[in-house]
Amino acid sequence: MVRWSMFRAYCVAAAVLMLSPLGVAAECEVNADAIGAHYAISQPSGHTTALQLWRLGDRALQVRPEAKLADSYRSLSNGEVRRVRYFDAHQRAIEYDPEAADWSAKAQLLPAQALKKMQRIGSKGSGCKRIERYQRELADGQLTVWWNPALRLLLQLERRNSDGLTRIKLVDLKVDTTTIREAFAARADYVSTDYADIGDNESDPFLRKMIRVGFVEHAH
Amino acid sequence: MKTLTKMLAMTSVLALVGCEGEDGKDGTNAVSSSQTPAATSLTSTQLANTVNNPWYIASAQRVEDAKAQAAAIAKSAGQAKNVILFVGDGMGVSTVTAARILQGQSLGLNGEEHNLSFDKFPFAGLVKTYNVDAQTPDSAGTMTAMVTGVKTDVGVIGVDEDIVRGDCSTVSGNELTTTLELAELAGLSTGIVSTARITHATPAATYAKSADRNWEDISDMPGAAVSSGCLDIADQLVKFESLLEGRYPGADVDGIEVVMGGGRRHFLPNDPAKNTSDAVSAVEGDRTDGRDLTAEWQATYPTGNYIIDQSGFNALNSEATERVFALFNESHMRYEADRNKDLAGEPSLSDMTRKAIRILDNNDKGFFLTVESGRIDHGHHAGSAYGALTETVELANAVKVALEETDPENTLIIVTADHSHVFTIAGYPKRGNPILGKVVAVGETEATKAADGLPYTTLGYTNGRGYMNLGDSETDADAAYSNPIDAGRKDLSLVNTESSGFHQEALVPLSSETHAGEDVGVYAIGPGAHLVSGTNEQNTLFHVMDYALNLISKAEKSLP
Repeated sequence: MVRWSMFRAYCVAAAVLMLSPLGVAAECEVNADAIGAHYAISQPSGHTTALQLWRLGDRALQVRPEAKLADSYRSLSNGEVRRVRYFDAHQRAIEYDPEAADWSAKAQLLPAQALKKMQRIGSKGSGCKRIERYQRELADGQLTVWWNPALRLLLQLERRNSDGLTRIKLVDLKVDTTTIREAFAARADYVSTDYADIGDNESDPFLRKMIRVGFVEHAH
Repeated sequence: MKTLTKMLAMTSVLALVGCEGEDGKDGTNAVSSSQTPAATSLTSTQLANTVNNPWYIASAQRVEDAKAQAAAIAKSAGQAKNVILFVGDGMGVSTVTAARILQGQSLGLNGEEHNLSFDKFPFAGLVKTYNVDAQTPDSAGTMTAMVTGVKTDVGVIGVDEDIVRGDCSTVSGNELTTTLELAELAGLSTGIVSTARITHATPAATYAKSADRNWEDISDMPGAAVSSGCLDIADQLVKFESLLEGRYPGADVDGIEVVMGGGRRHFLPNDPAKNTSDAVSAVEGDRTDGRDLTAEWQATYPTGNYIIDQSGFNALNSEATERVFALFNESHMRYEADRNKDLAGEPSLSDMTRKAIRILDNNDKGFFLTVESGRIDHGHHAGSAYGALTETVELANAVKVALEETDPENTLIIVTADHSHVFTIAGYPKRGNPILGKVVAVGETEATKAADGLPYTTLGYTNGRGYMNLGDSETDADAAYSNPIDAGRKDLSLVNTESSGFHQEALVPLSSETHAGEDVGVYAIGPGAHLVSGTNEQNTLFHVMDYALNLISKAEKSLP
């Protein structure tokens, strides 16, 4: 059962890569810093949500459509990462101070250090279409990752434990820079506020809600 | 009573001849042994023990000093050449007390007996901070009151209470005149320094008229306000000279000489090509009208210096600089504790204060300068006593610089706050107990336990995000916003509450800790300072500054 599941995961990842305009050269010529990756996240309960990861140079954008939330990140030259959270339902943004953070976790979803701690148990293909499989035993189960090193791209992640299977699966890949730029520009017109300023904005209904009930995780 | 007066006189004589000893105890013996007049109602020993005590002597001397200074200051009332208004944003009385102890303890003292620079000012009073429509105020209404003499609504800048917040059409006819504008009309040099965005409420209240404090640039304004002709706050700063001359036909002013703070994003177009070297956003500028106000300022003042970083600041020759426009950060400047992490480097508040005074005092007519420590407020909002108190200590350092750079005989210095915060100094910690530490009772060495069996800190908040332990390396109070709210009691037994990354417990969970409504302190030195006493409406401070500089009269004379 497990082996069949892994084979199927490989096939899905390979299919997404095959369908993408990545070329077949041995050396990948696609810019890994300009990527739009769409994922499906399935929980043990069967509930499925979407996650989009967009990368453009020193910027990354993670979009959660069901929650109507997005987080943008910018890597600064001093190693800090600057985050802005977008509330799509309100067309508002909250800006955070830059802080020390693992850029790879924001730009790849999977921190580089986490991948280093896993054992590579297989690989196929080359260039943009190379797929590497990693595995790690956890205290309560097993973690398996399918990874494309040339694009620094998570293809699939599976975590099995007593609760069941949680899966993050790549379902679509964009490499067209116009599309990627549009994704970053989509929220540029939102009214934006420094988090440091929200305490001075009791009269603003959106910020008042934030002050009183905390971060609007599920904006409606 | 007559005997007591004689006793006090004798104490002064003993002090003059050096008989009281360093700790006051030797002097006590001397008084009781041979020179004490007969007491009729109190025993000589009881009185001598009081009047020879070093606490008694020091405080009596403080009164004598104040009397001498009052006499000297009263003679020169209305004769100030310069006025400097320091505003600690959110610097309530408990913040001043805790900062005093923190600075004292950093100097190796117990802390409580230490004085911040402005603690030593000869005159002080209390200020009622409420806005016309709010029991607990905000910075916009309070700073407007201080610099115009008129209390107004929460959230509006430089306009009276007839304004409707957010309604551009109600601005016209309700504009107020500020101390800074009067100083300009009177021919004084003027300056604004802040660690917040220079378009933020407190600095903005000195130069702008706005129906909403948040209209910092055109992208923050509703389309109707723009089309009705209201100007954003950044635009008003850059056009200050022409706007003031427009309001007072015939006036000929030369504009603000010193502007230093943060907030570059409100002056730049939303074009990545205009990003500066230490931009943190992918597109630093917010302006949607395509205008670069920094370039417009430079075109208006070709001999002025527009600077953005520490190196530009260091290169300023204060004796030769006619005018400076300094925007050191995209948004607010860094917390003082976090300043060394800035990408391009930023000066401290005391550095900016020194440079501002040295530029402004090139004008023989004098100057008016406002200096705001804008991030005391932000430290508290984030629930970080460390952040708020280290900012307050830096404000005290800046006041010390002002004292060093000016002559108290011709410069009125006022230090105050716009409002307070829900910040408390609680429990019964022993003398010298670390102010950021857990309460350790008098005579004890272990932390006192509350009724729930857990230790607790001296400092705390009534509301806010609550406990966080972000460690010694975290010096940005706003890092708290990346962590979940965690209000209520926590087990602090193994937590170092004195670390820069510790955030105090809070009772009521809120995303951001709030302002408080109690009075704040006001401290003054220099000509006119004697008017600062008792409990005052906040707008009274305008009149103190006007009295010291004779500002309205001078401004009137300048007009045709």
